[in-house]
Amino acid sequence: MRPDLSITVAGIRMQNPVMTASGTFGYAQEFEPFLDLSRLGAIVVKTITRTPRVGNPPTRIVETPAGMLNAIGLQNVGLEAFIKEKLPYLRTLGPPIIVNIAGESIDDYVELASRLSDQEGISGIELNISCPNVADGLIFGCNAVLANKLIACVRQATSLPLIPKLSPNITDVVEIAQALADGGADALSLINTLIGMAVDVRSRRPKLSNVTGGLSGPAIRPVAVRMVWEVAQAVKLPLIGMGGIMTADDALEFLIAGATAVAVGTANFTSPSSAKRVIDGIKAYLIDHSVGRVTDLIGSLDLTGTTREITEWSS
Amino acid sequence: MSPSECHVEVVANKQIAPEYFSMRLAGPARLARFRPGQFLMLGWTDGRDPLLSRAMSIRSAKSPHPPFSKGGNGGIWGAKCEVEILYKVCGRGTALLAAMRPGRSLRVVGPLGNGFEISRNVTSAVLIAGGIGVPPIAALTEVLATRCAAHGTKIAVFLGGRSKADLLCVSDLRRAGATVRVATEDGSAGHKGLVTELLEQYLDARRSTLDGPLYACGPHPMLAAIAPIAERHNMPYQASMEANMACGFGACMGCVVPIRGNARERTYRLVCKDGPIFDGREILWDEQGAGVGKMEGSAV
Repeated sequence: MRPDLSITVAGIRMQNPVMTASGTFGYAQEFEPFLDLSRLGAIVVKTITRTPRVGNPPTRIVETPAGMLNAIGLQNVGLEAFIKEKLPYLRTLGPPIIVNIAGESIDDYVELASRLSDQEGISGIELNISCPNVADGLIFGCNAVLANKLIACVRQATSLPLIPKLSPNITDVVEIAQALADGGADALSLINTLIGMAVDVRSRRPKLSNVTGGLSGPAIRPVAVRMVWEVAQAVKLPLIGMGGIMTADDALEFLIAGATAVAVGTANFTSPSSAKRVIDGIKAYLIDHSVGRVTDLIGSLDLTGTTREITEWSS
Repeated sequence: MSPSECHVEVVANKQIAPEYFSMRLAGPARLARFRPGQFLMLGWTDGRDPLLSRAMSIRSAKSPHPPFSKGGNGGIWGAKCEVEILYKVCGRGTALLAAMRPGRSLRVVGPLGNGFEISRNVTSAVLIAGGIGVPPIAALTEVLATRCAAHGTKIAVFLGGRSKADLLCVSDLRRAGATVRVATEDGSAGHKGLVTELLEQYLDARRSTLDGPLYACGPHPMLAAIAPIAERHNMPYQASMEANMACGFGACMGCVVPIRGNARERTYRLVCKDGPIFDGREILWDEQGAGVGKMEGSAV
């Protein structure tokens, strides 16, 4: 049996549902010694801003239980250097390239999207509206009205698929997801990091120079799976699930909960070949469970016997 | 030599001082091709908690290692080598490492980083190590000592620590042919005080006969204190820097150090990729950000 792993998200066809999460895969070149990049479902590159950013002062990273806090501060080479120095390499790899962008204003996002639309070899744009480590990084991700307005404006600037990346640092993820769907998003990525903090008790100082940072890794996976499940039921857009995926089983949780694709993030740091193992593991699962197509798994969560079971008398 | 990811097997894990361990790992032969100053990211095979790998400077590597019976066919092991790292137990991760028995498996990414720059016609060198900063300095000593011996000169190594128990590899360094001078803060061995005081006295006395570079690895205050000494004596200075890092190969952008340059805006370099060895004149020594929360066990 040769299971079919291919999927389509926002019109982007992928050979398998395993992508890389923005900010954890650099511009892909860093990973060349460790895995065959052509095997990935899609490559999502680190956030690009209009002008280069130097990022936050150290300390930028600290380990926490089953997770890590980061406060990199969107350090990146900027739009023009990305186009000139990074994109030519990315184009040669094969898998669809999705460029993650962030701005401080609607103008920034519009400019980034329209400039990237002119370039060869970009399959989609992921909008970072959920960075917890820069001033105002969360403005668009935490307000349904602004989120809707942003996506509607960027929609006018490009015909590329638009994939906003949602923040978990909100009360109702469905409200934001719906606003983005209404504004013209083609798919949704969820989740970005949870805002966290760690204190050095001896010095009574924060462990990060930015004081707070984004929590990622296995610690946040249950939150991410729950959010994917909630949004999948309410919003008719394909979802890219991410948050603490280390293994194929972790990825399968997201697919079963309703994600069409998944992204491997923090695991790329601890083992740069993680994405390959997740792909191989999903394939093995499909064979073991006699599932012909990976798309058969999407949203296949069985709620029989749970408190959420939908029965005639409850509906 | 480009880095790779592999599994290694613990062959020995020996306590060498009250808080310090030497661990020997058997792995693919390519791990043996390293430059002194390069490091490995050493992690747990399931990798959930503790999540992140620990940066460990390579003390030595021997190749080839006789193949294990189970790996005789090449298997997952292929040709073998043995890599040695030294670590100090200072947190949960290194405590877990300390409890590991031979036969257990760990995950390695490496060798990583640039390593020390060694000029081909080196005739003298001064090396300084503080505490657990000694592994790359010992590895470098072994390379330099043979070259200097050809010129009839000796390597001068300065070791510093809080007390005698923090001075590692002293006999290794002497065996390699280096002249070793030690300093301890509590005076339990050698000069009572900081190793940088000892270094200064030495350089002041011998300035005219030294042109070799200064190489150092150790705590940040020690590295920072050496910078003006190197400048005053007009000696090139290669410092092995340390920072919290998640990946070790340039993807996470966590391990930055501030660099001199543009006065209006800070510039950073990555310890893992641009370093860990930096030209001492390049580093902005007085700015280290929060500077707290240093990851345990980073012997880089």
